[in-house]
Amino acid sequence: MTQAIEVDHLSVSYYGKTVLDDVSFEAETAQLIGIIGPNGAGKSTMIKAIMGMIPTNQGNVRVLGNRVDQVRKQIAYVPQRSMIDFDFPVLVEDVVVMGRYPHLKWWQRPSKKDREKASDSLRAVGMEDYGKRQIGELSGGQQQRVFLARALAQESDVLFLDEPFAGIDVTSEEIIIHLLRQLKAEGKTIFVVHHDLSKVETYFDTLMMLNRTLIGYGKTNEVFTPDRVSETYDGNVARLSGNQNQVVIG
Amino acid sequence: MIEQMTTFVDALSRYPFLQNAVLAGVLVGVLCGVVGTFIILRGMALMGEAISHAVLPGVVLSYILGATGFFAGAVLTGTIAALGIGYITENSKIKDDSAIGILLTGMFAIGIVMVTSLGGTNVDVWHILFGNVLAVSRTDLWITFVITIVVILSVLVFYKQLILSTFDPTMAKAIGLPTKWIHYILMIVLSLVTVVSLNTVGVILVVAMLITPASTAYLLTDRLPIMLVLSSTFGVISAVVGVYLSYIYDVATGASIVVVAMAIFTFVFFFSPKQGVAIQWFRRLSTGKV
Repeated sequence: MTQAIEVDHLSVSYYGKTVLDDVSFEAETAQLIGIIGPNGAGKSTMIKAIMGMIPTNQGNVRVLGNRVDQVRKQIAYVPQRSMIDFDFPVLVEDVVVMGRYPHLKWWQRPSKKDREKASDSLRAVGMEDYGKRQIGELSGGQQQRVFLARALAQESDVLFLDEPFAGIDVTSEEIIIHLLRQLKAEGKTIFVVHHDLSKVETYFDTLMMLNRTLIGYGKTNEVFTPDRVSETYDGNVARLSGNQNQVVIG
Repeated sequence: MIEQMTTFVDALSRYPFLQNAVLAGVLVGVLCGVVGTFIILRGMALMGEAISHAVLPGVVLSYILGATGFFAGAVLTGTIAALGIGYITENSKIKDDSAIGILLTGMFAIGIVMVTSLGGTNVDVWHILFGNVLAVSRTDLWITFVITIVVILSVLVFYKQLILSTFDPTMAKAIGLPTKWIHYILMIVLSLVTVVSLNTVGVILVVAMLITPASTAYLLTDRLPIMLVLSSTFGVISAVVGVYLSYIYDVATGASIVVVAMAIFTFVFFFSPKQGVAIQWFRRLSTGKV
């Protein structure tokens, strides 16, 4: 069976400063993988390096057994909300239909079928009544659901979500995690950059712990140990309660 | 008022230079409206300012070498500035607003040095800087027309690439759009727009035609296609009314056009139905929240 992602000795640096150092891992298909690590640990950098968006110093990345530029259509990306200009003159339905762009030829406009796919995706995230709203009129959680709908509309096999749960409401969080599990069950491979350590064990079956180098990677219940967490966060972590597995970043 | 308009219409039917001026204004209004929309949505207003100033040495050079190199010269120095700004920010810790400031003033100064070193030649620096709409020739009009059509067609054909790379550059890059090329092509278009707007509004004020009508439209709509149409419409209205006022009151045309654009913006800023500052204030007043 082909692996969804194979990363081999990947290193990335900006202005001579190493951001990612010799990261190697493989991810099978049908997985929901959490990526945790402190700020500046290279989480977003790694996603971007896998998607072939930034130059790498060394290392090999293969997605679905191919070079990334051969399978771009098959990779969906949900940006960090802070990266988006929510005053942009665009309606929710227009955002979701962008998920169809990778499937269109350079001169093609979205067809009726593409629009239908977009409204199906909007329904899947429970946002079907908001299609005609300007994107900035929604709450943070609703915006996040719209961007997930865009990724759904793309019908890709691999998804990258950059901090989808940051600062959103409980309902949106539940809808999103439910959908991600469903996508996993359909055989998709999903990477989620994540901050809230208390949810790590409930959300992800596979976990990647990153702090410039790969500290731990594997089944969550095996790698998510106090020692590794402490190593990942440079010791800036206090464990509150043993039985609830609550962890706080300080 | 009626009398003045009759005078203007009468003059318009009689003088080809005035017809050319109005036509040039209309074309520049549409062109700047369309290009300006993408400039402001990409947060590149300052970049537009830089490119428009940076074409000066190129324009002066083409004056010296003869009209054939007019566009080539301007596009060349405009592109050098765009590349230079990118190069400085990517290879040093200088922030892009500083890089823009350095190249904007630097290139402009080179242009001024070139003009003044020519001494008593026929290069009229006033006309380059502030426009000379009455000198618009048929050839100028045709060139402006062709560029406007090419830009509009490109926006129609590459609409999805433009909207995606403007709204979400990361996804655009992820799906393999050539975002860098889109950026630099836009810079080249900016240089072209500056050159064709040279006679109408001049190097100094062209950035107003790019930013002001587009910003006015931005306050009025939530949809990009509508914004493009509104922005062009405001551009055209500003140009025509500006030419009219400048003819009637015998004032500088470019400045007159920009003053009209600014007046429209000011009105919309206070009274637009959704975001107008005064409208919001009245609304709060009527609900007793002030």
